[in-house]
Amino acid sequence: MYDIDILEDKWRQYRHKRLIRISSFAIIIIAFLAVPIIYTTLKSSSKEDKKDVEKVVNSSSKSPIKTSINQTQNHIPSIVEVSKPSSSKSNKVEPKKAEKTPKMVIKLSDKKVNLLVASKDNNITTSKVDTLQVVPFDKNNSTKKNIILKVIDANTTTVIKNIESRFPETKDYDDAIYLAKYFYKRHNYKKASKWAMNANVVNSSSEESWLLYAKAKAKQGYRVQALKVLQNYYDRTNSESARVLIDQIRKGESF
Amino acid sequence: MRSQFSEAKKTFIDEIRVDEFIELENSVWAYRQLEDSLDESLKMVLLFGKPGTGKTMLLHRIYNKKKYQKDIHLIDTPTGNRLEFYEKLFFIFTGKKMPPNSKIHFETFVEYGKRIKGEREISILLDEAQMYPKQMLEEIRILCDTGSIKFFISVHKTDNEDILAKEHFTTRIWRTIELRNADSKETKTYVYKRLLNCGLTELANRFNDRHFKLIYQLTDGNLRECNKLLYTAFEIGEFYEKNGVSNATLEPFPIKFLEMSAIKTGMINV
Repeated sequence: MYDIDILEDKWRQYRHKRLIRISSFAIIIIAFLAVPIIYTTLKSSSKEDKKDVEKVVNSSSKSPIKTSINQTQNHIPSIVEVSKPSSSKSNKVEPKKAEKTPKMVIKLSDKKVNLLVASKDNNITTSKVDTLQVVPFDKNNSTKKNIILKVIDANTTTVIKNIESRFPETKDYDDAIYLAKYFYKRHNYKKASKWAMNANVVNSSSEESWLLYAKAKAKQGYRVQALKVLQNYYDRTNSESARVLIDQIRKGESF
Repeated sequence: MRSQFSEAKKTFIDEIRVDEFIELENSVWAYRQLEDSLDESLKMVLLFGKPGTGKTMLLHRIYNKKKYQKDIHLIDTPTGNRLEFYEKLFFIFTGKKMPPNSKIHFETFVEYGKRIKGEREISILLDEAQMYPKQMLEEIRILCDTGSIKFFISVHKTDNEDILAKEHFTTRIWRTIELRNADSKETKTYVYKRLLNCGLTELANRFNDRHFKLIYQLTDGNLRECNKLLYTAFEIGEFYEKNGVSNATLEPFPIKFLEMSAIKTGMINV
């Protein structure tokens, strides 16, 4: 009889390789099935995002008009520049190259939102600005205008660096909290906690900075520190959000 | 008491055992075709198929069944030597060995074939015909033309043999019989019947569909490969049994033995 031990070794190798082959195949199949699902989910969520966007036009300004994106649901904004001829002072806006009569028109809203706004010279500021809302088009008040839209992605590294570099001078709370949210969303919790702290230094009454700082710390693994900070804030303010977050961190729940 | 594995191992030794012929659908059909061809006045019948599909077994079977009823002869060992081939033909035609230091011309056989036309009808089963030289195949073709000698030639189904069939025999081949590899159902029947024929019912019952599926996957329904695989698997089983490894005798038959056998016989490349 041949050497059975050698044969057994070879058989073990074969089983091992087979197992790897089957696992790889299963992973490929799962990935193959998951891609369309993820794609569909992302597509539907991006559609929802688009619905939240409102165009903003500052009609009274003589310089190129700034349009930005609604931040009401913590979405990181894109910045939209709208150049408008100086002769026009109307609040109504028509789409670019609008040759047909538009069905909807964008008008100023009463509501103001916190926005990142890019000026013509690429200087980016964070400020409360008017929003626009879409309303049915009124033929009687319509005038043809040439509007140039320029979209700047506020999430580009250049923009983020720009905001980071100007903070020591501006000490702007909006900048700091924006950066904290930006880094938190990208799982850079160390930077997120740093910027949340900066925001808190500028405005210690801001609940958002407290909560974001605690969340970022907890995500880094400093749960005790996060709880201490939150408890301190809760003792002073009795904030419901702080209480909920304390519970979540204590129970190890995701937030 | 002898081990079941030892008995089973012997069952799967790859040798011609006409009495243990396992009737599978394709081989039964091929046998009937051959049988019919013997009764018809056909010049040449081509039996072809991949190695291990049972061509030799089929030729032996029909020879053994018909040798007392018909003027049928089997040349199972191919030869490249013309003199040897003539000696075999001489024996077939006369029933005697060629006298020592004698010589015979091919034309003599042709003349003999023509003379016996209507009196004798000789059927010659020629196995492994692809191994004969081109010139001898030409002579076989000429002998067929005499009308009294019928050749049943068995060839492997490869590109070369197809050329052989086309170039030399196309016009004279009156019937072509192809033997295919067994399908999964036939493979199962083959293994099961082989074990049952030897009274190894208990061992046969230790095989289930998973085993047969694996056997078919590994052998592609080739009966020679199947014999080889199972012979080695039972040999491994025998070894484990002798060395007191408990799972060797457990139900079902360990798949491990089949896989090890496939590795050993080169069907699985680790």
